[in-house]
Amino acid sequence: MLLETITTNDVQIGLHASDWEDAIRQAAAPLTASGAIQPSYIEGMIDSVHQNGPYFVLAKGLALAHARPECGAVRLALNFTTFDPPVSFGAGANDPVRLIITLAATDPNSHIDLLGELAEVLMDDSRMQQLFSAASPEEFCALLG
Amino acid sequence: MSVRVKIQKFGSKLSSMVIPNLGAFIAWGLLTAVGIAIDNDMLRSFITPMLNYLLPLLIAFAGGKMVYDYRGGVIGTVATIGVIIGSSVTMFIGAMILGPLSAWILKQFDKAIDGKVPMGFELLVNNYSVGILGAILSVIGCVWLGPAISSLTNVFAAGVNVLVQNNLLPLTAILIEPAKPLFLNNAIGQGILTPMGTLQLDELGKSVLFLLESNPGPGLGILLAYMFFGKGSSKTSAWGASVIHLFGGIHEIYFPFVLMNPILILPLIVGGACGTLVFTMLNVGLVGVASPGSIISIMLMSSPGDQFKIILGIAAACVVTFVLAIPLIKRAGGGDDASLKEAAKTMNELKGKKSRISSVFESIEDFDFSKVTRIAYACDAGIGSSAMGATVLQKKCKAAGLDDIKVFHIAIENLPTDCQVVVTQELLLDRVKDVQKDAYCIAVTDFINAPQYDELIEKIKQARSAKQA
Repeated sequence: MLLETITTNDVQIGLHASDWEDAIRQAAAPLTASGAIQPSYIEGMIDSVHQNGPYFVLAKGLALAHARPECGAVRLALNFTTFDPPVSFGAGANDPVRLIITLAATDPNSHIDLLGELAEVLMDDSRMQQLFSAASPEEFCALLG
Repeated sequence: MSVRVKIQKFGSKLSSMVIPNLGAFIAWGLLTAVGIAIDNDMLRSFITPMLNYLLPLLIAFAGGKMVYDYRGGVIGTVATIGVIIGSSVTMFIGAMILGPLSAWILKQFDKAIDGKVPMGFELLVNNYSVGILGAILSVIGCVWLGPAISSLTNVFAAGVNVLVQNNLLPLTAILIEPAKPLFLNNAIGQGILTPMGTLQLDELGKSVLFLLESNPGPGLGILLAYMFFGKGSSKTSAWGASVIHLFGGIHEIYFPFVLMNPILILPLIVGGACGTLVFTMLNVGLVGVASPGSIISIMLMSSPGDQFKIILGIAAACVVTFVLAIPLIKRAGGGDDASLKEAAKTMNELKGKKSRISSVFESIEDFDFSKVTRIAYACDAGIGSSAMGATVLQKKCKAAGLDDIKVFHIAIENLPTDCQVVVTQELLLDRVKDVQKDAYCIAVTDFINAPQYDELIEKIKQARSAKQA
């Protein structure tokens, strides 16, 4: 599964969240619906923030929400959710988060190529900003290109 | 104990009497400078009492307290008032002698009567021992020590005058510059320059003596020479060192650069002498002690109107040292990483304790970046954040031509692993350090655009090219 396989079904634009927990739940909801993760995976992600702090807030405005495979990842899946207004994760300089990429991975390595492609996109700051402010799933997917 | 250690200990005792009181010296310098500049009688009325009483008594208190705590401070101060009253010169030297000495006498007295005081009478005895001993010592000070110390001070002052009048002051660099990297400068600075400079203030309103040791020019010249002509970490650390040196005024930071190539003492001496020559020719001075020897404190303490001329002197010292140091640094091959680290260690040994700035050098050299081939990117799960970070860092390594470096991601629980560097999120750094003790750890907050990535790559590239050269 590489970035081209991301469809508009995997993208949610401009959601409102009351706090970061709510944001993670909303961002992961489509993955539960499609059966890529079990509900326990969501709790795993939230617990991880409680235990370790918001370390998966990778960069300014960007979180890569994930938990360990054994928390209930069924198959490799990715979802992109943008928030408006952005959500505070208590992540210092990287706050507030505008885009949560929810990652479900079943083992440590099968998704590396996918992340490599993603990194290519995200290292380009202007493209990241465009993703943050994409107005529709179609526009978002086009930007991922 | 070697002579060097003895002088050093002596010097550090002198500084622990002067340095805690520098604030008062500065206050006095400012009041004096402003009072004279605007010719204000109210401000001018501060000058003599502060100089004659406040400053020596503060020194005496610090000296007494150093030997025997607060009681020592009190008796030292009481005894010192005697020498102040019994002499016509400013009694810094008297305070430096009588402060600790009286405290020591009190200490011996307390030891002698220890256990012999009836219960309930301790407070009475304690108070009256200080009172009676203090009164006796102050009379002794007034009658005998005061005149003796006056003549001693006058001898020093005459010596300084001879140097000044014959334009020999630049020669003091022969003594001062080598003393600094050996940490002997405190004995000279606090024992002679501060008291003599203050005496000159009394007569002239400013003193060039305060500039002799605090002049950052010579050290800056050495650091600049390394910045342009050094190699490896001596080149890279010279830049940061020069900022700390010039603005922070912590001269210690250039000592390792001299210790690893001791011949550099020569440019330092010549540079220091040139600086002092310029100072004396332009007839400049400070109105108080400039400590630390930062360009900022020197400018604040400059006698009004002297600022620019003082900068000229500092610049002269810097340029002369710089030019003379270049061939010597080139001859030594620019200085390699190991010898700078070694010199930083030597500096700690010379100082007799760990220098607060030696860590600057350790963090740079303790780790050999040229050997890095495996970088672990760790996070809690070892799935997402670390994988993303590793991907980014691997791409950056490739782009920098470091093809042989393998960046991999890993869960912290799977550490330790075979790697030389671990990168992790700031929040997880402590956990990483707990389990992977041998690796160089880097904490980032931004996994994608962390400035630390480029720093790491730059360090590896430099370390490798230094190896090849």
